Amino acid sequence: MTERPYWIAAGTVAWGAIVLWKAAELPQFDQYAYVGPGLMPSVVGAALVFLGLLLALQIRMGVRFEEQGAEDVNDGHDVSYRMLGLAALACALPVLTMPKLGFVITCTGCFVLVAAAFKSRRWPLDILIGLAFSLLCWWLFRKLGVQLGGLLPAMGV
Amino acid sequence: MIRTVFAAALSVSLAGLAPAFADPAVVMAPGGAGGGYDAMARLPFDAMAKEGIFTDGATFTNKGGAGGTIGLAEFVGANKGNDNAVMSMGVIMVGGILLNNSPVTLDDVTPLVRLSNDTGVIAVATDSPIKTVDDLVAALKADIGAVSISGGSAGGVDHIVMALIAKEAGLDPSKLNYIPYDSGAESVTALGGGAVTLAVSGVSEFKPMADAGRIRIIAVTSEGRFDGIDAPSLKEAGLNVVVGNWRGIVGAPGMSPEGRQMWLDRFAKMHESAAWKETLAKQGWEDAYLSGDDFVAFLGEEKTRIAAILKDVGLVK
Amino acid sequence: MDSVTGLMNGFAVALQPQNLMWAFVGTFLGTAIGVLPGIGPALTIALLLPVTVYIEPTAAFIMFAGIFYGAMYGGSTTSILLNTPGESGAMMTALEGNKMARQGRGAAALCTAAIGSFVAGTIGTLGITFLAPPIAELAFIFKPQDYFALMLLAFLSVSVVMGTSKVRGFIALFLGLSLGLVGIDKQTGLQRLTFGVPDLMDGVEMTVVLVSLFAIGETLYVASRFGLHKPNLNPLAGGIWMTKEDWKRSWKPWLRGTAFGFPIGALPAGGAEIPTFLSYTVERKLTRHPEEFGHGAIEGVAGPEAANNAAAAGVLVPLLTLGLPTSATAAILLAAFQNYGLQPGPMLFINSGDLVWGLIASLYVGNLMLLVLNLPLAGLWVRLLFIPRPYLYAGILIFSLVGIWGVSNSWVDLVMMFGVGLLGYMMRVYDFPIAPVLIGLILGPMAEIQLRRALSIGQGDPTILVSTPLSAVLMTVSVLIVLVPAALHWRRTRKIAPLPEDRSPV
Repeated sequence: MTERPYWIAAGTVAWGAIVLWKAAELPQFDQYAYVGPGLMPSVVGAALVFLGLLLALQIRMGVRFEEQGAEDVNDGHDVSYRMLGLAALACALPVLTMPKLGFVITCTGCFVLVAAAFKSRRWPLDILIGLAFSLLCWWLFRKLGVQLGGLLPAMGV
Repeated sequence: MIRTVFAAALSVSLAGLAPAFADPAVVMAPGGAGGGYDAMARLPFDAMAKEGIFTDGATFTNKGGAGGTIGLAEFVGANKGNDNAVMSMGVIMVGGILLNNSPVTLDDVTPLVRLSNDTGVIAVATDSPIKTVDDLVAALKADIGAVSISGGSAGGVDHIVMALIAKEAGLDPSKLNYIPYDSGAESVTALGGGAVTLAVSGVSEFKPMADAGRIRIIAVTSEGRFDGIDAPSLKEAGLNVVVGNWRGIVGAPGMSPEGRQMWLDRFAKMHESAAWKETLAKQGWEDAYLSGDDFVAFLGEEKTRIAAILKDVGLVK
Repeated sequence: MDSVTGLMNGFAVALQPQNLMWAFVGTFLGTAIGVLPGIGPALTIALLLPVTVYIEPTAAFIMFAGIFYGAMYGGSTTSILLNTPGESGAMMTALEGNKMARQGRGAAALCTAAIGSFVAGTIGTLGITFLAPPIAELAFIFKPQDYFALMLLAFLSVSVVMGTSKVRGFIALFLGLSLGLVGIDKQTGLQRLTFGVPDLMDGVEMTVVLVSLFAIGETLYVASRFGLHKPNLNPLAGGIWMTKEDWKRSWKPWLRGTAFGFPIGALPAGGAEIPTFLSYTVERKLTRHPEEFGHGAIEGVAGPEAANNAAAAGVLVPLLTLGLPTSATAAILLAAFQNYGLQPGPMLFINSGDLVWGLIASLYVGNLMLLVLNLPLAGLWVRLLFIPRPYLYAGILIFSLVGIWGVSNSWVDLVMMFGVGLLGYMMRVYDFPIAPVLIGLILGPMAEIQLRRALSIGQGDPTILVSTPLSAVLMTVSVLIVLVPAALHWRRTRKIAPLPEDRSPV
């Protein structure tokens, strides 16, 4: 199977183009250093566009993308998009809930979601462990001075 | 109520302040732990606790970035009308607001007191041909680009000192070859090693190196001479430039007159206390106490002056 | 007071039972907080600073010494076992260390890291004791062009970590460079690539990218491909101790890493990252087992880990001798000195000799304490890997959140954690190397600023870049690094390629 992920090349070119476009708004030269604030972004943006095109060429020629190995990965590298979705949801959860619901609730949610993504089916136990662990972290690190915020910011607590 | 108990438990465990019963103060430090704004936020509360002036404890938040304007925005957003919320700030924030086009400004907060100042110094390498302020002006006039200057961030207080000097000397401040350095340590070694011609920084950062004979201070930016430094002030040397890196405290937006008066009284008491004098000495801060309406007037002048000079330098449109 | 008597007096203080206890407490706390992703030594010390207000100066500094080395070491444990480096200096350790852990050699990796840290810390402390003044002079010798040449060298030499595909390696590198551009340009105050977001004005937080690429990316990747069967690997398969072979392969990297770390750490713009990059490269070039690199070579753990700790010791040199804080960690230590009314600098040894020698002696003690604490624990730490996977990865995510949310309280950072985490996932699936992103992010801004400083001072004259002996030498080495392998490659292919065609040797 030769996958042809042209979208990666397209993404690289697009990001390079954004960098170039933003760089064009800045002065390229400086009165003494000559190298102005915009020069480096221009170079980096151009390089990304070039590398993206090069990657597209490689993909066209059928370059192989071998997945990196990791511990605990099943032998066939079978992908479960459901599990990926659960894990991604766990990582996105703080964006949604951290400012309003606070560290403890957010982290309990993350804990349960990640555990579920790793095929744990013991929901009540997961919630309990997650809550205990989150509370412990919150209490301990707050005591040490890490700014983790209140217990439930939305309620002013 | 739970919040009070938790916050109190935190402040007792952390700073060992006296047992808290009332609402602790909400204090914003618009800079990272260990920095100038951080010290200006925490140390007054330490001194007040020690002297029994304000013993209800305080919860501190550090929020650095963009000259303190990110902390300012958060402080203003979260504490409207809260008589219990204060924030440390200083001259860098005045410039930072202009430089970063901050939508939130110091007009949104309630100025309380100015507490400290760090006089600036201008230094050269010990073997530099520049020995006096006159030599410096002559060198700048001969070839302004050849005088490389190291100092703090672009548009910061060090840059403002040089811009004012250039202006007084009849030169274009935007032509200065000013090179911002991240830390006083980098700047002073660049000067001592001869990489740059001139360096500007605070007294506390440069005095030890000058005392050790590594660099030579040719001028200070205070009104008159500075104790312990054998160099004239810029004013004495004929340039009308007086700049200080001052820091102070402001209150929440829409603070009630009673709330404002309460804090002014507390700071007035603290300023007289032995604990605060000790703090000033330890930190190497100059006492620059200015309270209430006097501080408001001073802040207004600083804003106008800094806005004008940043425009001259070309950093603000 | 000469160094030896001073040091002896210092030991007399540091070895008192209650001071030993403080050293233990410091080491323990430092290690415990240092293992958190995103919370490095500087923050650890800042967090624990208030704790020391209530104990007398000597005890406080002894505790600091423990925290200092403990926090440096703590990061390596999670790098090796969980592939989640907590700060940039520990990243190179993760590359080989985690591969070792996956082969059941985690304990050996932890041991070589612990002993390497000890060796580097001890040599570094010896350096502080006897060589501090001359080493401190390096700070004055290095000019912007020298820094630039050093960073260029680091840049070019890291191409070795780029993996099998150079194109993908360079994409990763330039992606990192582009992230490094974000924020206010220091020289001109103009905003670059901030898209009007205030939280981006100070740039992309390096630790957020580091933690997200490694920890979050790994969690997503493993979750999507997790097999229900029990991992058939025993984390302790490789024993709990280093083999004779491990010792033989470790001791030279320890010393070389120290040689990179200590002097570069003493430079105002040096830092811990460059020596770890250089150390990794050098070990990879010098090893007799090149085939093992990328699959768990012990040299790749021993060298960078020693370099990292030696750099930490190096930071103390300008702090103690010149009063110059050259890193965030040192700036916080300076604040601690000032809390006790001490002004570090040329006069410190004269005014408060007892205390300084006490501190230096406690650095030795703290360092030894770390070894005593961590060697027996290596086997215990490895047992972390016996935690059921759902809870292990959930715990990693929560620790990452402590590091990311607790440091900045920034919602933008949380968004970035998610975005960069997805990027990390994608990079794993399509075999993009991860380290170059961070190398670009760290070195890019440093190199750019030094380049522009040098050119500003020279008023645009490019020859200033090779105007000092040091910069000329480093530049030449950089050019050779690129040209020599290219030339060798060209000669080899020229010799081999024509053979089948015209059947005559060239």
